[in-house]
Amino acid sequence: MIARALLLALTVAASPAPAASPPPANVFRSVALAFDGKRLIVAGGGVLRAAPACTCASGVAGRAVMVTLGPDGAIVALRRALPGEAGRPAKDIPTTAYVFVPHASDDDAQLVTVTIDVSVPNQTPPTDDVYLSSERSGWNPAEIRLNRIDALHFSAQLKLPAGVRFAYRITRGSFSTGERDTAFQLPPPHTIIPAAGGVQKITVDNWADITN
Amino acid sequence: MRRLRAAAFAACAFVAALTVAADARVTYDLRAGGVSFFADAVALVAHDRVRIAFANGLHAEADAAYADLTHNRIVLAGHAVLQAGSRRASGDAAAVDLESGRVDILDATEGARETTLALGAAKAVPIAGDRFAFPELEERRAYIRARRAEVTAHANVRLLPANFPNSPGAVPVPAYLYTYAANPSFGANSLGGATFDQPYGIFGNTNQLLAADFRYESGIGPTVALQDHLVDDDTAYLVTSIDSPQRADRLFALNGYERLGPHLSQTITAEADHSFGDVAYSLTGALGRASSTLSISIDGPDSYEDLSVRSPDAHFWHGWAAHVRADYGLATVPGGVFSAAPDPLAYETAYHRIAELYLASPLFKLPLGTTLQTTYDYSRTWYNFPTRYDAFTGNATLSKRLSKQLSMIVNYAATYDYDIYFNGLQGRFYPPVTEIAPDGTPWPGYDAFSGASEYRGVTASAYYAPRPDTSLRLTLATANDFPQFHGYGRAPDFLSFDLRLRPLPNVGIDLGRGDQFGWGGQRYTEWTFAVLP
Repeated sequence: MIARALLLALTVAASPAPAASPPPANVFRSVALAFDGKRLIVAGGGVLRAAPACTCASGVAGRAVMVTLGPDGAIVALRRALPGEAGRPAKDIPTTAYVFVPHASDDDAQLVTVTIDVSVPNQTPPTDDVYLSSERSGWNPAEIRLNRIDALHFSAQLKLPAGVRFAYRITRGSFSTGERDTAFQLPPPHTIIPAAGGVQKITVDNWADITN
Repeated sequence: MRRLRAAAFAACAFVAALTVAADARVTYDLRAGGVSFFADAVALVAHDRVRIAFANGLHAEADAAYADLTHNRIVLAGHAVLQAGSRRASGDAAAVDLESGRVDILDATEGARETTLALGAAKAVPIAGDRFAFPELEERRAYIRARRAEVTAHANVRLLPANFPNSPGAVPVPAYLYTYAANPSFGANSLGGATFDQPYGIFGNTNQLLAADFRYESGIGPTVALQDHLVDDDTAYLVTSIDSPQRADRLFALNGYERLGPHLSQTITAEADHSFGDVAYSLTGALGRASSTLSISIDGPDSYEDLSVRSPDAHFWHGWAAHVRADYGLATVPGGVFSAAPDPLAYETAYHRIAELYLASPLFKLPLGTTLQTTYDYSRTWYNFPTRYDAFTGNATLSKRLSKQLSMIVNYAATYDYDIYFNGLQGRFYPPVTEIAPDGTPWPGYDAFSGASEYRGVTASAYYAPRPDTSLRLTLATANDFPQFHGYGRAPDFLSFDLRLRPLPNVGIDLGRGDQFGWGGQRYTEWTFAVLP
């Protein structure tokens, strides 16, 4: 039973992500804010014009769309995007294609991978797991189990929305085994603004339940 | 006892009343044909005739909307119309920032103009791209789908009715309150452990949350509990609960913390049912660089007081660290603290003193990329009775990181305890007893146990994390203890695994089980399974 479960677990864990074919150079994927048949507003506020002969779908506000631009920058095709369908990001749309160009567009809260490295005190029980607890789970004290690197270090890689402040605390699985500061007081949560490849190193000074 | 129960009940009722009273401050009420909530992004996406009523009187309509709950802003997409009293503004899209009060309206033919939540005079402005961000969240699979969302800024969102399309086993409910408040003290708990516990928020704001916990408790079965959180930044929290209020043995509990200063805090925990009650109070503070804890607990007729002072870590010689701890306390137990003593009533109050030395090595770097760390802990306890208790624990932890995804840890731990009674009393406290093992067989070898025990074990763990949100821990542990027999004590061999997966962005799964190779007649431990948001 355990062997079967482990085999299944390892199969799922180790299965590679499907390979994606590169999108055509003139096909962009974005979220449509509005389309009136003549002009399309994409997420981030940029306004594009539709070619008179555009094959354009309507009712796309708030939906992911595939936008095909012609040589003159006008939209020649517009349709709802399929799940997983690849397209170039809207930030790659040439400025010359816009009727109104947005400033500092940030149209995609993409997920980025960040690494949290945690140093724990000497008194940490060697066989205890260490967890990350965040507002993402309503502060579930066993939300994310960290991987033990050695006796005093743990680490985790997280996928987080880029640029959105992420607050967390470290625990040993329950609120009563949470971290404490050098004076054994409840510390403020750690925070990180996720950016691709970001690494944050933190130190747990003490545990709430270990005072010896 | 009765007073304790009454006090706990009054505290619960008081906090619940406060919570209900404070819940009226909904920032905006969003209704649409479909509302999706994404827990990882803390955001809502609404489609099909979106209508939003704001607490300040503003009304908005659009074809679709994106609400960033963390930053308290909304983007309206398609046929956006805003109305504040007799003032009206419309465009192809609009961005409402509730923090700054700024409203941007975007028209595909005229560009952008800026106004306020009161829809005062508008002025033409460049299009601010960040204000019109509308992330593509649909492919990340919603945690909750609903038709209405009541948002209390920086605190919670109530989704009505709530469906959990990607959470196996989750039942649709008429309303679900999801708390995204930034205060970690919402993680505090005053309920006991349960095999299963699913909280459903009822009322709440940035500082309070009243929730019903649907639980499965060993010995009770399916039951429900009410729990209320009252939190104040990092300075205080009070959690009160009633477990199984429908039962005669309903349990009242509270758990509180207050920071009294930069280096001083107090905590209190208490619980009571129809037959017992206990309360524990502690004061923790820094004495210079040392730390100290004064604790007082009352458990029915028994009471315990204790003062512990620990020195800061002293670092010396190549990174070794050491500290000492001194402890003084007393226990009061009617009938005697030492019940097997010849005159137990003479010791209804017993004093103790503890001295402890803790030593930790640095992390040694060994050949082949391995590291080693060791710790040593020795303590001796004296009483105002001819007895002494000695304890020594040594740990050695060897680790090797085989790749970024795989690391191996091996720990050897040895603990030796000796409960010594002088003046010929050892036999009174540890008389020869033939124990009956859990499998029903007698074990005469237990007669050899006269207060000295030892626990030695090796635990080897492999941590494999091939990608974020996926981790597997495989552990093999062996234990060679005394006393240990026929299911009494730790299993000599124990193999376990724990797998954490996030098959969907908003749903994580934690699965685990262990094999103790027939120890005490039991082969496998129960499965552990949890669905994580």
